[in-house]
Amino acid sequence: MMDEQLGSFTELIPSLPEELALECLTRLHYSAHRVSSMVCKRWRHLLHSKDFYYHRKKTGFTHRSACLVQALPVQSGSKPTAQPRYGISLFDPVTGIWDRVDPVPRYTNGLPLFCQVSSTEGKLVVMGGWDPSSWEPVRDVFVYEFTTRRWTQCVDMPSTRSFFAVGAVEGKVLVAGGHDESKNALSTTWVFDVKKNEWTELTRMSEERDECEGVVSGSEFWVVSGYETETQGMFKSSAEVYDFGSGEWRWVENAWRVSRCPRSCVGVVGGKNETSVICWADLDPAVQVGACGLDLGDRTLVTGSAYQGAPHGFFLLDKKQGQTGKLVKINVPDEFSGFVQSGCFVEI
Amino acid sequence: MAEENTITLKSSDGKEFLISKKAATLSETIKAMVEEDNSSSVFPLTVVDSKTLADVITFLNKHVDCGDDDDKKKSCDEEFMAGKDDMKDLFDLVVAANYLDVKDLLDLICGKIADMMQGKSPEWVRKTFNIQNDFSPEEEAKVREEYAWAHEGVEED
Repeated sequence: MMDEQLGSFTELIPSLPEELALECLTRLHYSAHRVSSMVCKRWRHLLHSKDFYYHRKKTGFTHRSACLVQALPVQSGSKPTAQPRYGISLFDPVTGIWDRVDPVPRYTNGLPLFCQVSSTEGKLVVMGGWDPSSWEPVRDVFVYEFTTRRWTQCVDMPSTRSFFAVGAVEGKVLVAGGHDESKNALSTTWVFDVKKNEWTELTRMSEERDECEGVVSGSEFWVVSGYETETQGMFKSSAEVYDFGSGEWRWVENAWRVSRCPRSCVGVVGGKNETSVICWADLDPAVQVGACGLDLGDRTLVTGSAYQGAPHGFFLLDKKQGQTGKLVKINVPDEFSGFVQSGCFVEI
Repeated sequence: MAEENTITLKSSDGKEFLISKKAATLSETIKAMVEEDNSSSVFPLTVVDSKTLADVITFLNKHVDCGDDDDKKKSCDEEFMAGKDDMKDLFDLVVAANYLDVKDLLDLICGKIADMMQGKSPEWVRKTFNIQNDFSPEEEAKVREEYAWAHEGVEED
């Protein structure tokens, strides 16, 4: 009996104690995961497990990269007036390397316009948006696994929703607000469980919020600003905050004081109980148009233009210097210099 | 007196190594031994052989010389690791680093082993680490198909 048990136990790495073999595999760069998971069943099981991801995260071996929904370079031969096509770019702030994520299988010619991206547990989730050729809203949900470099199509969004807020925490993606197919502003909130591939409705917000913006801070999901059906374009100053622990919403007055569209330009500062919201566009005149800000741990990537039609600039902000820190311009290869529509950070 | 600042470490095969207290106590395990027994000057390490212990001592001495200079440490570590690619030696070192509780050395060796796998084929990893391929031919075919393109950029054996 004992022998049988010993026989069926395979070591992660023969002649190395388990804890040390795990230490080694924890340090494996994520780009080596897909090939390493072909070595044997135990490695495959380990490298694919959620526990392994959290172990890497806890021990500091995951990296934050920026994932951007970005206008792709114009193809030679196409009319310059053609509407831009969007793809997903990946920027590693440590190495400074830019990369393009493989296209979503159903939209190889460009992502749905205004689709929302979020990330949790090393995966990228793309949902909603408008079909780039028909401009019809779509409910598609795609999940990209960086370690295996594979896209999977998941269960559709439960209803049509455009310009909604999105935020992700621990394997779950929340969507709130936006508008339906008849342009009615929404207050409804749903959560998508990535692993279970399942949608569940949550308590709705107290107000309708079309074109609101979502941002996650700790265990809170902030839904900032937005407007009602009857007051199109009149952006509210309030925010509603969902607590993942209690499952309840709270109201924050005067969170967004700039009466402008919050899309992709909302940042959160401060910690527990003192969180407040800032607008990345206010940081510097160089990014006042079309600003997008992404928290990359000790740095923030901020993109935007100085005026309508100006080239898109890319900057890093050192967080140690606080909000008053200066934006440092970074040079970006031509094919990654396109307009950034939105983005999220991924921790892989 | 000089003797007070040095101790002797004795390997499993009975060889003695003189080392400064400052370098030796970078090992949390040795630090605890010294604190517990202040009167002794010889400390037997029954699970570390002389070849491995010599390496560990080189590492500890280098790190004492580097002080808090991280750049200097980095180049010292590179120098220390140069030519270390025998798997048995690396395993011995990592087991010793773990037993002696020298975090920097443990990090260095585990990182090195992980780096060795980067860009290598599953066959190379199996051969190098003596790992049994336990996929059935059907499973293997499925896994291969799934990752047909995963071999882009992987070195041939």
